[in-house]
Amino acid sequence: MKTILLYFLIFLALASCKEKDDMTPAVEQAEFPQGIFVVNEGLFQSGTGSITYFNTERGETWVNVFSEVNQRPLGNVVQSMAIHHNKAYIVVNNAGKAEVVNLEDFKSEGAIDGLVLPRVFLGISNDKGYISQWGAGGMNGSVQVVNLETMQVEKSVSAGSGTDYLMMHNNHVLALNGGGFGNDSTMTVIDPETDAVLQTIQLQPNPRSAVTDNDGKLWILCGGRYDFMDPDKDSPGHLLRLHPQTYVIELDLEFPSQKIHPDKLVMNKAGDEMYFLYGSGIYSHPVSGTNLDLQPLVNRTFYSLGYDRVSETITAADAGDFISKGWVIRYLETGSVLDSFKAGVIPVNFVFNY
Amino acid sequence: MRGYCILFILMCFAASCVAQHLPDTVKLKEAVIVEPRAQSFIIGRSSQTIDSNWIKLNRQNSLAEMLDGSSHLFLKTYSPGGLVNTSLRGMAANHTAILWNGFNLQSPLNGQLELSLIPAFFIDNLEIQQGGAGAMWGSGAIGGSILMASESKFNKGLTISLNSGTGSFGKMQQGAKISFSNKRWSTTTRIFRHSSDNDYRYRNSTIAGNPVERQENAAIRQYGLLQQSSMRLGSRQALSFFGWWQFNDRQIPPTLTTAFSTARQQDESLRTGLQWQRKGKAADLSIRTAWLHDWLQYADSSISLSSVTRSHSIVSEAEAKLRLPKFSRLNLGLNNTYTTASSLKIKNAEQKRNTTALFASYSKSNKKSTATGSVSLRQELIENEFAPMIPAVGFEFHVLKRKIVLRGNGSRIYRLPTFNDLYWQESQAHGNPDLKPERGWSSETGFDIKNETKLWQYGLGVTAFAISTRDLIQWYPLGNIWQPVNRNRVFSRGIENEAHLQRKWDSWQFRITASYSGTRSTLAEAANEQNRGNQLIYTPIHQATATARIAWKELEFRYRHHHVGSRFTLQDNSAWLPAFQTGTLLIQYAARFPSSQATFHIRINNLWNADYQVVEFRPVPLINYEAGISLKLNNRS
Repeated sequence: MKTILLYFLIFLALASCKEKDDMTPAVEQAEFPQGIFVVNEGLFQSGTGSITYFNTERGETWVNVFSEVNQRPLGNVVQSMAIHHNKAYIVVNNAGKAEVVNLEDFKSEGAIDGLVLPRVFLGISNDKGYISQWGAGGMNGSVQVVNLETMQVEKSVSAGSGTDYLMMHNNHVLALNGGGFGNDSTMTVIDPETDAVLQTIQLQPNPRSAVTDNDGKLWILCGGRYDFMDPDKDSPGHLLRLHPQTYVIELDLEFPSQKIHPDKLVMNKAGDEMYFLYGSGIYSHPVSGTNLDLQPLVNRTFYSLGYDRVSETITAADAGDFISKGWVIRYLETGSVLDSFKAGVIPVNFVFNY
Repeated sequence: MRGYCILFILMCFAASCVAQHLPDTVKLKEAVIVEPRAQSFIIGRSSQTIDSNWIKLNRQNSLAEMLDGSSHLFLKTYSPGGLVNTSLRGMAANHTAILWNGFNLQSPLNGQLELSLIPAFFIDNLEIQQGGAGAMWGSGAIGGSILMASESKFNKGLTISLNSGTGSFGKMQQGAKISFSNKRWSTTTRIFRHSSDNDYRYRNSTIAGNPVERQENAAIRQYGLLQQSSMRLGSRQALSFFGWWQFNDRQIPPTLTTAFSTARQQDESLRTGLQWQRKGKAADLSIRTAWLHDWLQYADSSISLSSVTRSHSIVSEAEAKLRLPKFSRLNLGLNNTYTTASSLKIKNAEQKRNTTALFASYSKSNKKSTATGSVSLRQELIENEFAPMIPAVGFEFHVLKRKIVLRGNGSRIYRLPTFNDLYWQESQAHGNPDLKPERGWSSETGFDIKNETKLWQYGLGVTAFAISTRDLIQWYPLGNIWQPVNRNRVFSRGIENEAHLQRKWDSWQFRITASYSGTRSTLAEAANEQNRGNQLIYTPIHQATATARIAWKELEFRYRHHHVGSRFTLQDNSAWLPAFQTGTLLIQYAARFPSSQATFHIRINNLWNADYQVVEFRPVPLINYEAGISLKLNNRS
């Protein structure tokens, strides 16, 4: 009898080990007046990405917009999101798709399927969009031309290795060939009317992101070469300034370390100061600067960086231990903290929606 | 909750019971096989010896399939036949030492051994020891140890066993075992092959309408050969050889949230060894040596990845067990392990490590052997540097006419960084040669009650444990480069219970066993400060199992019910997978003839057709079936 009593007590004690129960928030009215969408990759191996919405006016966060509205996960390794004609195109890398959602209520309207390691969406016209993809083996990069009405890929424009960042620039589409699982150092210039490749520009190894300044100049951040076998053979990153029409490199600034690869170049609203991630900090560079002055603006390791042109804030994402929800911290241009909010797992990109 | 109620009732029913931790297999005297040191020198530890009938019933399955639902062991199964991580007492996969015939098979590269690749057909004895045993087995024995043995017997004549099985999703298994032994010689040869398409159907909860889909890229095929030969030298000595070759080729299926997978893993291993033993009045001596070789290729064509790793270990061990006056015993041993590992992703393409360990255990009992105590020490020399000394103590008291055993033990524990941790070399991930070993302590205390009447046999065991491990090695991004660092401290504590009840009458036999473990394994120090105090991910707090066995003559029914509580999937404990329950039913009929025996069995997995996930977005099969036949011919029985 005593044993039974003991068991009973043990079970009571253990059964009362309470599990936290704060996971299901009330589904909010889907409405996205002004704010920031945070794209969260999700756990790499067997996870799902998510989209977090932060209402900048009210300071409120909705952590899992997509899955709560659509009652299903978004997919594995969500890479980026772009807004085009009141729709959001969410690129999901390992799932080989781009989810199309209506920006009014975030309801899914379908998906562009059959992509191979897709990275970035760029809207071209009412019925046309581009999606960059790394392609088979992460080496055969291309730009997929998508009919937005049928959600079908209509054409493939072959580019370099690991085609990634896309940008519209002076009626050209610039596709940065970031290397993928290899290395590349080129930019493919495409005519969005005819989808023809106009030029292939030689840059420094692994171009990652590009911005334009108040003078119309094009700035491109190259991460540097990765040697997948021997890190001692990596090459340093470069910050390049290019002529906006001829794409001739006018300025080439080399980073000091060959092992630290800079990433995520953004431009401020005035177009005179750039920010990027380098090692464990946010660094800045004025467009007038002719050499790199590597003093960190913020000393903290971030996974991603964005710039909000309306609130004029630097928006940075800390992925923490990569198995928890990450944090987004907003900094003023001086480097002081404005505010912060919790996003999803591994925040990787931002969309500023105003 | 319903699961707990069922188990609670079962446990109350069982009321009190047998110390499952006492080994119930009796070693045959003519075998001249010296017991591994675990048996006589691990005092006060809780352990479970897996019922040898259950091992036989699973001869067509892997060890992972056989042990799934075993008390206290949590298997983090990614997919059936696929990747499996073993967890004991809330600790990680590389915190469980897995030994075969006394040799540690944990990979020097990642510190793990996958139970899903080991055919149960190759294993005769299996014991799961919970808790740290650093003094006994060295690095890696933190959450527990799994001791496997393939035995050789003398004087049994010629025995031929054949078995063949089939199951859902294209599962096919064949095995053959031929053994011959007389007074002087013993040889056993086993071969097996297994293949499965694994193209099971599952409900895809990630797509609107939850359509039923088929698993892709999940096939597996395996071949293996195990040879053991022993020779008696006089009446006290024996010389044995063993060799185990195996090849596995499997596809790695996609998750529900990825479009497809082209990943594939092939591995080949060869484990050979030689052992000399002498059994004496005052001392047992043994000298053994093994050469363990592993080759592994992981390839994923969609991301241009192909990586080959190789590792070799040469293990040499000498051990003496002395029977001293006044009921005391002394075990002394010396172990040298030389390991090399090579891979393009390993710095300088190859690395080596030489470890020498001196270990000693002393145990003493009183005259009636109702009280036993033991002290153990292990000193390791790793590449000419002394590691901290590892002590362990244990005690056992038998009271109330030996019906109750009170026991306890404590041990320091440690784990050396693996070769991947130290020397991994890739652009975005580097090993860290400055890593310190993980270290900590493990302790437990408990009691066992057992009683037997003419008709009934019952028992109960209760254990409370605590393990604290600091400097846990965790890969973490520093800048944009992933590196392992000694960072977190984990405190794991909990309670484990087992109960059983057995009754025989006429041709009927009835046995019911139940077990429960409650484990809180939390971050005591965390890289993310806000995660301090949180339960580790994929570590269930509650786990419970109940098995009922009913036999009438040669017909036997076994039903196992398994409950696994919810598991957090994020370290901030903001998301989790729900608890699940599964049932497995096994029906066996044995037809016995004068010198042969035929056994038929049917097994139904996931009997209640539960739709659950052990790992998030990794689907498991719904209800599925297996059937098998086995024939045994012996010229002496």
